Amino acid sequence: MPDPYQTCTFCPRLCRHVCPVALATGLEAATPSAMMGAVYLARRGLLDPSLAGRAAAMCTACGACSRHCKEQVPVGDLLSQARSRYLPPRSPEALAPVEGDAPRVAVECDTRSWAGALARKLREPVARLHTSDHLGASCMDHPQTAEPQISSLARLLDGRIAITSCSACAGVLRRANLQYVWLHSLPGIHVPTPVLDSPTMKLSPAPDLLPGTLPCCGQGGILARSFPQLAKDLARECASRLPATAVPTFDSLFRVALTPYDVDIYDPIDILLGEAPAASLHEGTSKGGEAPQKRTPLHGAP
Amino acid sequence: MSSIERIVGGIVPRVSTDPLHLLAAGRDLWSRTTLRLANGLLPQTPAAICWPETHQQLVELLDWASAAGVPIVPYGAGSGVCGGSGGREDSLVVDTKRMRGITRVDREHMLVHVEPGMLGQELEDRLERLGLATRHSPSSIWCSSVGGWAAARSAGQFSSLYGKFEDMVVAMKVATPTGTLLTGMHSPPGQEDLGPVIQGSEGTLGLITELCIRVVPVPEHRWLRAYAFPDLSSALEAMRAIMQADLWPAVMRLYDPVDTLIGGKLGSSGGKSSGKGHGHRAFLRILQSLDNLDAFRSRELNLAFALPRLLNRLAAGLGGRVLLILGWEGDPQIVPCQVQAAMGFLQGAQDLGAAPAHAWYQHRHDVSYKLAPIFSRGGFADTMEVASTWTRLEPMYRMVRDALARNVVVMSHFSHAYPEGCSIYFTFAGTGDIHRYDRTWEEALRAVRLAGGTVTHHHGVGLLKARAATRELGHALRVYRRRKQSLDPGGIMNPGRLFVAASPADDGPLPPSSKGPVFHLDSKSLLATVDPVASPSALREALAREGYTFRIPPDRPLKDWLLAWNLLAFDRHEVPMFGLQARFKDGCSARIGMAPRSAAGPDLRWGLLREAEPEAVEIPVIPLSAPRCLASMATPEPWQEARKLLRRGLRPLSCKGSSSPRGGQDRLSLLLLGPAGDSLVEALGLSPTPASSAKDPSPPRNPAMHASEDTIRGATAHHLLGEPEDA
Ligand SMILES: Cc1cc2nc3c(=O)[nH]c(=O)nc-3n(C[C@H](O)[C@H](O)[C@H](O)COP(=O)(O)OP(=O)(O)OC[C@H]3O[C@@H](n4cnc5c(N)ncnc54)[C@H](O)[C@@H]3O)c2cc1C
Ligand code: SF4
Ligand code: SF4
Repeated sequence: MPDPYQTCTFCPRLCRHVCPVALATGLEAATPSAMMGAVYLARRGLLDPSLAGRAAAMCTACGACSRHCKEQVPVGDLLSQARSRYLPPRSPEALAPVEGDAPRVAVECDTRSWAGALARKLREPVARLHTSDHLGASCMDHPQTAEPQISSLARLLDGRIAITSCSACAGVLRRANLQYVWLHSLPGIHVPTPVLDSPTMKLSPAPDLLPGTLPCCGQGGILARSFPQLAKDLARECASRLPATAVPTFDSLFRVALTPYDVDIYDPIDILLGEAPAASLHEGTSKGGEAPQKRTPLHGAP
Repeated sequence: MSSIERIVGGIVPRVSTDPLHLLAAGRDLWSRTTLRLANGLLPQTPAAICWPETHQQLVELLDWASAAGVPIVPYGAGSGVCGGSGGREDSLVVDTKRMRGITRVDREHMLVHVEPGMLGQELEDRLERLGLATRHSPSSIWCSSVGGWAAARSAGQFSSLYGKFEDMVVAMKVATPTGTLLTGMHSPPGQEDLGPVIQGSEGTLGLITELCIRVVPVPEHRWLRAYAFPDLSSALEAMRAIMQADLWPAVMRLYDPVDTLIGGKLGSSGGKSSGKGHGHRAFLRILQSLDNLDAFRSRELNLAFALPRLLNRLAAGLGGRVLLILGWEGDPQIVPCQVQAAMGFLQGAQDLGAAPAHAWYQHRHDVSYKLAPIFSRGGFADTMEVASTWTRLEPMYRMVRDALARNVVVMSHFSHAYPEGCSIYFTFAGTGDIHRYDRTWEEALRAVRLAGGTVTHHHGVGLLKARAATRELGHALRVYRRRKQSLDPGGIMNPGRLFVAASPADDGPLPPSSKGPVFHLDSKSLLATVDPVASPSALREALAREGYTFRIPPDRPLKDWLLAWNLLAFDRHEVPMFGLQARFKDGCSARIGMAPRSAAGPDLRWGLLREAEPEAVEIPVIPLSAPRCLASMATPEPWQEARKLLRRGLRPLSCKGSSSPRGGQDRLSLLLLGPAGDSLVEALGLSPTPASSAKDPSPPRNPAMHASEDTIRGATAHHLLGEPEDA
């Protein structure tokens, strides 16, 4: 098998049109081929390794390129490996103890507290785990930071089932091989559109508006940490592709990303807290209208 | 922050000198750069890269760059394969990919305004949601931009029906160092439309910032089928016959014997007619393994690449059958008539059914994955797309293939067919260093020139073919240079690309003619080289003596008629002129356009016509014996009906709307050429008119832009029926 970094370097960038980062930012350096190319050159000693690390940090590991690629190169994993090799490790924030004693644990990763509301809805106790860095999502590239984090998370959960609505937290739980359920899948949390279970994201905003899906809002993991501007571009791209009237979304990260834009947000936590109607939006609300859109893509946003 | 970053940052929102971005902007997909990279040589990197977001920012940027003498390299998606867009050391790369909106959809005229940095696939996906399509589908549709398509005169896989990308563009907005330029439909009245000079200029005149392009409804119906022919010549004859019978297939791809064998395109019967014996079987195995990426590791294959002459000689010995993929798409009532009529030209072929053709359609992008592994394994691979008239096509195929075969393993296919000629796409691979690579190209390009073809049909020129394109265009380059002087006086736009400074040889006079106003008739390509000052009637008579007539009848001597030609009112399938020989005042003579639909720089014929005295013009003709069919329909709104029919994909030779003087009903009359005429008339519910009235198409009074004109010609005039809205 040829070196996959090399395969992508010499590939005529055949997946650039599905990579959300490359598309949203317009950066040549953010195409899967260029990110892999930088790593390839660093491995051959032709490029400063720190540049390769920075290139790899632009990837959100959404997996869209690999799904498209005829060679199925696992770009997300390979760039994660490259980050562990070329970027210094980051320390995750210490995990706070789980509050409460119940078989299910709500993972709260933003300012909203919803474990109590969920307990009332389910009529059963729900414990709470608060995290301010998505369970250390952006530290998962390095075994020396990931492994201790994973073990302490496993210790904290201690066989209990986590409940989350966040793709970044879910990514860590998956990585740690811990059991979790999506908040929107619980009874009584009515969310309007079907959820596509892509490997790393649970998002499919208005699938009829996009070829395939828009698999990432860029807020999770390393991209938002390393390149906040690129992450914003990506969020803006997501927003520009959604119908103006409603954004059915199940992801708190995505919600954060979309907040500055002119879209209505339906979020399972909001629905649970009674701050958003659980009314059924008709699936994939699309104006099907003609360009120009209400929000001009790329140009109008801050 | 460097000074360039500071200054450019004051004009454009984003600029960078980060080595990561500079590295990425350092190359396009020219195989030579890839080969160097595989050998450990990094590309040159530019001084800076910026991402403008509006036309106005670009105008300001180019104004500054012109004053400061900073070279500008426009960069679309960098999928160019000729070294057209990698940033050179001292340059500022201008990446268009943050200009990627659809800014307007005009269904009335089936036009869409789009910014240049949008990737092709994104455009098609977005349009599809509106029920529209460009159907411009280059193999690079995933990785190339709309601006790059126009700048390098791209062609898609369905070009035989929809034309090249340049045929779809009706207007452009361009930022140049001297300000804003509007072309086509939006060019200032009374001024030369510089659209043909901008398209193909590969960023050397300005940056295209917005394009207005024709779109079609998403095709409702598609018909695909594969045929095997006993040899290349008979298959090429069938292709020519179909193209010249006005049957407008969307897909026509003929694989030469080697390409047919690779991947076993004809299944187990593929090798049957080829040579026998152990050597041939081994060779077949090698060839077929070329289709399998893993095979490139095998010793057998490395050996094959190292000994291209041997492999190619064995290939030539195969003779062998060839595969033709044919396809039609569009209106479910029109397509079957075209398909049925085409069957008459496929008598000698074996019908392989729909499966191989659908397999091609489904996997048509897979081939793009095949070249990269060759670099990974220490070899190089590249493609070369040339074109010529039908008359010169097969000799050119042999000459170029032989020239390539001296250095590399080569296979080819014929696609992008037109009534007057076709393009050939050579794919080659070899081992060796940059010198072998350069020699391969040099010898192949020389062969193209000797064979009378154009050195590029759709990949453009860049650095790779700059010398060859300069030679091909000869003195006609004066036309380009004059426009370059006025649009980019400081010479900052993409310097060093497209053409080289060289004094071309004079093309010399045409051979003396003994045939009166018709100097030469190429009956195979349906082209006549004629006297541009002869009267239409003298030309008509002379052509008739040879058994031909005009495809597009002029209403005055060609010289004047062509000068008044409105490029926009006609489908560019309806090309009024191919080759042009003209003499400048100082006695220098230029001859261009002798091979169809070239991408060797811009289309300079229209400028040449203005600036030099035309001496000979090559025009399309049709045989007097070609089947024609006149039909009409009574309708209160002839133009609405015409628009509907044209949008459905009907391509009449002419349409005529007439109002009855005595208060009777208005009529729409259509003249259809080719064997599908009668069945189309029936399928579309038109009333046939007796054969005697199916004469020459009546000449258009003026090339029709508006519904008020009483005659329109060609298919895409339907886009412009009615007042085009202002942009
Ligand atoms: C795998 C593969 C398959 C291909 N198949 C085809 C095919 O089927 N048909 C085909 O036609 N081509 C094909 N190509 C070639 C290539 O895709 C085309 O030449 C395409 O038009 C280039 O577009 P781009 O956006 O990548 O332009 P770039 O490579 O970025 O630029 C090409 C040239 O245009 C200039 N340019 C770019 N944008 C602008 C602008 N907005 N204004 C002015 N100048 C500009 C650049 O300076 C450069 O000179 C293929 C290439 C690859 C790698
Ligand atoms: S993932 Fe596949 S398509 Fe993308 S760059 Fe790599 S080889 Fe090419
Ligand atoms: S995994 Fe996603 S973000 Fe990363 S390179 Fe592939 S498509 Fe782009």
